[in-house]
Amino acid sequence: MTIRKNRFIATAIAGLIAAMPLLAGGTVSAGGQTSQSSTTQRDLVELQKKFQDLTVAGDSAGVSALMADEAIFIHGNGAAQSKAEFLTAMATGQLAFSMYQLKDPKVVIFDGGAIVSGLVDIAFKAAPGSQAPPRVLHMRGSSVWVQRPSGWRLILDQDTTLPAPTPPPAAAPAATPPATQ
Amino acid sequence: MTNRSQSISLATMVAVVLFAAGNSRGVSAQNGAAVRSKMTQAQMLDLQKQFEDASIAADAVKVSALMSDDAIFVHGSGAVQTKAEYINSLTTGQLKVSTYQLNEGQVVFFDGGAVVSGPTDIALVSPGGAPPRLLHLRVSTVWLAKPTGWQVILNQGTPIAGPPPAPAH
Repeated sequence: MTIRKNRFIATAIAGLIAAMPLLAGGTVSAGGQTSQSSTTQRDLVELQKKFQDLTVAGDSAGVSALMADEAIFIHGNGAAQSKAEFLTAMATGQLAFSMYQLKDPKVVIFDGGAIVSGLVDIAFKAAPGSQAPPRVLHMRGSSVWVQRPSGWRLILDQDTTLPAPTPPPAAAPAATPPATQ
Repeated sequence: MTNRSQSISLATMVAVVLFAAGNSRGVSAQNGAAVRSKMTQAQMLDLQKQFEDASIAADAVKVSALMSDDAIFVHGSGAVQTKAEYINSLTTGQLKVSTYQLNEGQVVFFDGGAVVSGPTDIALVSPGGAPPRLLHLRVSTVWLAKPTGWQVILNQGTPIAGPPPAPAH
């Protein structure tokens, strides 16, 4: 009887010791890695699309929910807006998109966040009564998303306007232009 | 050993294991905040300056150490480079930077990293002794706190549109 009891206790202690690293490691996963690793590149592209669609819809509440309070939004002309300024511009109609699309997206996932970048096409709504065609911009955009306990939040969005495509050269092609800052 | 003492020993072991597990949860949750609190805004701006100075010096080793392997570099023209391409363009002289200066930098920390952003003056050396090309960009650099140190994961520049021309009289 005593031998059986001792064996039971020894087994219980060994089990607890074996479970210790699992318990400790499990908390790390639960704290960050599990939810992050479960977020795929596709999920992030969809999240980005959701942000863009809400912006086109002028849905301030939806956009606000996806942006970190300290977010920075840098437009293609270099103008920077805070989250509050971006939402105000949307609400007042100062910033009214009719199209906001990401093409050829590239996703870089890092510990606690991700970057979604690619080619961005944006069109602005024409003023009421205007016969002018909508202004369309072609840009290279990057959005930095961070993972918060309440969900993914946009902390930086920056667009860089791409130069207009040049007409095909009449003569021999020019040398490859150097990359410029 | 009596049954009572055996029970006490077992209960003590359980308590120790549960305490250790709970403690590790607290440590892991605070890890990001601890990393963040180690850097001040001034230190982030200093780190940014190190990257800018290393780019001017075409110091491939230093630039490499400050960039994550999967970093994205978006120039003001919209051209995109990987880390390897950026370093290669610096070392081959394809990209010669003579001025790279962030003004009024804004630092936004997030768990595990920071965004450093602001108006930036850049001068590119032109071939043939021509005057350098001056650029006025808004540049954002996203830094990550990695176990090996802080590294750039994204650098993007956007030309700041100049003021409208004065109206003609």
